[in-house]
Amino acid sequence: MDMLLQSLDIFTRLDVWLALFVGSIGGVIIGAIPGVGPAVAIAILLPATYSMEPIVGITLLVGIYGASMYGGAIPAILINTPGTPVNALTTYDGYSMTKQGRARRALTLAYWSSFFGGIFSVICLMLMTSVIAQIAPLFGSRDILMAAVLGLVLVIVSHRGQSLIAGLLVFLGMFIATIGMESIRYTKRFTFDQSWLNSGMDLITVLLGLFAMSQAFVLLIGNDFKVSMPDLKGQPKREGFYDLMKYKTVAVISAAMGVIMGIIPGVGEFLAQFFSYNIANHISKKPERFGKGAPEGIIASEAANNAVPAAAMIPLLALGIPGEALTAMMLSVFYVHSIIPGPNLFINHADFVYGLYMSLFVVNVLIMIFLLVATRPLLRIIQIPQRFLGVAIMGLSFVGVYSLRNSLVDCMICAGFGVFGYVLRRLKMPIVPIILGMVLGNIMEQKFRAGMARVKDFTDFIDRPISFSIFVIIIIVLAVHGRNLWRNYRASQNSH
Amino acid sequence: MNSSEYLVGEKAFAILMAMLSAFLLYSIPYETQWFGGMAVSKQPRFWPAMCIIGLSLFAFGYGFSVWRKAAVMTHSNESVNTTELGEMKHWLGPIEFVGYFLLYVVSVPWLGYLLATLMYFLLMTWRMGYRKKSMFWISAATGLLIVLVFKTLLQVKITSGAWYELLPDGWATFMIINF
Repeated sequence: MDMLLQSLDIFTRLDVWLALFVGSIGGVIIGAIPGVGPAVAIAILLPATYSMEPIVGITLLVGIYGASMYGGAIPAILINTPGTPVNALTTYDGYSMTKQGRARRALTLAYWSSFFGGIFSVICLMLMTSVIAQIAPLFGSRDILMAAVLGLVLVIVSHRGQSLIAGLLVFLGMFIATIGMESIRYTKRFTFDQSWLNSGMDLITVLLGLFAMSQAFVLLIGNDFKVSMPDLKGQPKREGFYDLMKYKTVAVISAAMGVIMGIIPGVGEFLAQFFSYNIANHISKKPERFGKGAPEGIIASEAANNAVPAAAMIPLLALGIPGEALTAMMLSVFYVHSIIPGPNLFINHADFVYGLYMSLFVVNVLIMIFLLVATRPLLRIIQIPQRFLGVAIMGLSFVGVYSLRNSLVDCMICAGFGVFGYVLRRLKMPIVPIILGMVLGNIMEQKFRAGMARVKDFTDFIDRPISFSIFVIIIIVLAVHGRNLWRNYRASQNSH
Repeated sequence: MNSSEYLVGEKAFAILMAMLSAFLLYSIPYETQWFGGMAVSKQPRFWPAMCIIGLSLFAFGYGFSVWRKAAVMTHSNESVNTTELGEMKHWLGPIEFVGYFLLYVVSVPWLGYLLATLMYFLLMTWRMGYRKKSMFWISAATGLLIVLVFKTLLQVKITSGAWYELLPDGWATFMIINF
């Protein structure tokens, strides 16, 4: 509790408040523009945050991460186009309500549900801290290695119907991370005698290429589309809040689901909202309304996906293992400032951890206030022409990549990954596994080497209680996935 | 794209990934080192080799799954208007924009960040087919805003323009620091 009160000191600083405002308001705007999304924004801003203090930089990024999902609900509800991919389920009931002339009600319900999910998650994070602080130091190299393996396995199996391509991209990412000089004998690996490859592929360069540049290409090659906005004038503003109060159980279950899914590396918002939506449908007295404007549908989707960002910080802070692309990006900010996330973070930088929790709390409050007063002006932002947005994203990508080392080569690598990302987007393949492969592959190699110093053979990797438990979970996950694949195969054989 | 054309894209991707895997497998002995007397796990070759083997296995699995899907869809009635090579040509669609991007990058050390950014935004706006005057004003304002936020306010490290040196001392310093 003392530490929590001490952490309030950060709110006496102007730069922290600036980061909170820019992160929360900027995040909402970014989320509200279909085709940008938090990954693009965070990738672009990442190098700029390196010159900031860690708490300021991370607050800015976390603000964008959380706020974008609030903003993403606006186009999902009004024009049936999710602002960020994780708002996809909100379109089902949100857009139906808009067609019924209840757009404002759907919007305020989405805001309040998101707010509930966000605050619920931060409170869980605070309550779990003492437990995390006790458990995290128990994790040794072998345990963290197994946790990273679990993360990769979950990334692969959670891409249902695309597991093979997800696996391929994970290993491609892991391979990319090995390029350059290795740290034991300082030998070159896969540099093909090219001096520009000696320092390896910079994560930010790859990130900007895969997320920002590829998205810019998609927008530049596509067409502008005109959107017609429903008129919100005269519609009641408070009904959304009353709806949330009416369906408290759905809100609590969905937010809890978001927290659980956020903690598990490699799972994230998609499965959180998917499970929540299904549970809300099952427990509803009127399940037939789902997809036709059911308030519970919006609550399930928005409360779940907004509970994920704070929860996703748990594996990152406690073990140094990012669960998805956005926390993987944030990991680099920690490293730049020599704050190493992991078991010792809670001992060495407890003030930072608590400061971050409080920032997350304040971000949610600021977003909510902003949305309640600024929804109508935000509608104009959604109407920015898509191709012009592509021009702007490409211009912003330049800042992100060029400011790293002022290198033309970095820009060429970024553009190359941009084309690769464009191909992946065109073929509807996932991009996140490459990034997680790069980040987790690096961690795995380090922990594997450190772990091998204390073992005689590979079976010793699982002779510790934690690593053995994680190993058992991996086996169960793989067995369940294998069973599902077999069932699908049998079903497809029978249908022929 | 309909599902048959989408499958053509997947086939082309599977072929490329198979070629990449084969090339990387072949390159392992030439691009990594092996030290006698050193534990396998510490060998510089060990980890990249594991990654490439994993990549190859998944590439094989993916190729097989695409081949199976293609066999099932042979009797599909959907019209296919492209081939693997045709699909790959689509993949090169962004090359034109890569060119503009690199031109922008190359121009910054000469023109300076402000001027290069304004030119980039205005020319790209024209290239994208916008002809309204208001759009060009918005475009220039966006470029200016980006420079002000990132260079002037956040002071990100971006090379100053070569022509700044020609300005009087006070102006040159001002331009180097802010634009």
